Amino acid sequence: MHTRFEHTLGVVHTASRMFDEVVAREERSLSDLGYNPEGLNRDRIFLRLACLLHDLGHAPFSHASEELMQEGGKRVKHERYSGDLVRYFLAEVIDQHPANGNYGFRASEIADFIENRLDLGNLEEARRRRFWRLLLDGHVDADRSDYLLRDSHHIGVEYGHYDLDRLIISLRVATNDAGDPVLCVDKGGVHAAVGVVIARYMMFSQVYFHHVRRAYDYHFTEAMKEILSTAQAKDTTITNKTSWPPLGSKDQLQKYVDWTDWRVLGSLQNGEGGAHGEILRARNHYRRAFETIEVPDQPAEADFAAVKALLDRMVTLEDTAEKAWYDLAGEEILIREEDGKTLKPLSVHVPAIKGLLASKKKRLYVAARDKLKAKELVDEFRRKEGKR
Amino acid sequence: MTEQLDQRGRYGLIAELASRMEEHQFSFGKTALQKLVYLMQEVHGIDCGYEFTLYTYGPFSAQLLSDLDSTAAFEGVRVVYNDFIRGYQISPGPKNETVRAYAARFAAEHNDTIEEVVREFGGLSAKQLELRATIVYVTREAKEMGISVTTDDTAQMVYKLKPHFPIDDIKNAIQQLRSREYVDVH
Repeated sequence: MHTRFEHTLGVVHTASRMFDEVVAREERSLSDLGYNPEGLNRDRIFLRLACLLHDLGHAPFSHASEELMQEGGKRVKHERYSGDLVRYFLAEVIDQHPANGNYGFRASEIADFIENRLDLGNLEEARRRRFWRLLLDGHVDADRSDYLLRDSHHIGVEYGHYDLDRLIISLRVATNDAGDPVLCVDKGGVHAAVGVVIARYMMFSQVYFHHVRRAYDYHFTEAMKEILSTAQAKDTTITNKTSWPPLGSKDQLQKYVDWTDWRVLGSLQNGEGGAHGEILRARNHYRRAFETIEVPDQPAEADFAAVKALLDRMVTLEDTAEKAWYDLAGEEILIREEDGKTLKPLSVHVPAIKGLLASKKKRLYVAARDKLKAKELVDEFRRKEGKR
Repeated sequence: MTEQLDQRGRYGLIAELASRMEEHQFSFGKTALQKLVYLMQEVHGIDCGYEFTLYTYGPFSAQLLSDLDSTAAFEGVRVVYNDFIRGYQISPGPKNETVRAYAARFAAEHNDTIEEVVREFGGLSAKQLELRATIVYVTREAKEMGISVTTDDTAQMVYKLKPHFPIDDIKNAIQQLRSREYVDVH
């Protein structure tokens, strides 16, 4: 068991280490880009604050209930809640903190940074900070660097291990064609970068998208909808009863904050989670009946459709584990060549990396009682089709 | 109103764009893909199902990049790194026609718009596309915040974000976008 607070401290620590190494090793490049020691000191404090607050918006059971975050009918991510919590609840603490007299940070700037919003009134700052944001949300950032190792440690698996120290000392700065600074990895750190990519691949395939975990994510989401719809039934200020309280005002955010882990667990324990809540309590989760390969091609898609038709009403959940673990934050990890200027994607150096495509695996689930019946049908399908 | 593209439809659109870019003999890289889809979605209001944020090279969608990989896995496109231009090149793959069929209805419905975006922007360099997409992004953000902007305001804002583009180039790009009513500036 570990907490998001522990992870957050890890992100602050790792981002600081990354920042310090980049600054120490790239003093001249950063100077050429207009970063002076005073500005860098401000950037470092700002980055640490943003890292500390970036996950503030997570709901109970984190990503499982992120699906219930909406704004104007559209799904939003937890960073949007983090941003508004900083704006509405921490503005006074941050803006009027005595130490902030030295920096003049505004809570709204930190919120924009977390949400990756443009601060149109302060674009020069926004631009210089955009580079450092890559340490919070980029292809080799402190967030992922921390959670891979931390989750592996606490879960008791080896999949997320890689050489963090080597990766950190390999981080460099280069400029792209448009003259913007980009974070890259020195050629000597190619295999440290490969280690991260493989660790991410392994953690996503073996832990984060494990078939049982996905089933529990689903049950939790459905149970939470039930709990929310009952609790918010009489609240005339909330239109979408099965979503978390909406963004946009301090009152609604307070209602959101009031949904603590303890309250949700209590509701589940009290039987307020409906059928899916009962499944959680009885640990009688849906069972995987069929799944495709990680990146289904046309024949795999056709098989999936055929099995889905075969299982028909037995299918209780169709899941797509659609998540990129390599190009996750944007462009590939860039490797800076020995000339100190040329940038090439990691997969050019290590072509095997190209094979680690974003997972589009699809799964069909059935109720626990139908598991054997579904297995028989799927086995029969495989026999007929001559597939194993 | 058109339905949002589903997963396979998105692969179909990528294959469609690769085919049209080749027809016009335009170079098609990952940056161009990002910007063309962004412009189709934001300027022409065609919901392709992507969410864009401002990244290093301007508006960017990780989902789109992931879909490109999948489209390549379906052999709807080929994605090859070209050491000479130091970037990826996207071209129609052996099953391009089959994959394009996934978005056949969408492509037929939006044929003129897709063609206009390809013709108007497909021939531009990645850098020029980045500039135009950034201009659109900034003006959209301003509009969302209820800020009315002039050409000069927009040019100054974009220059602050992308100081390596000469201000005159930025203004020319704004004028070009404005003349086609792609951006709302005064």
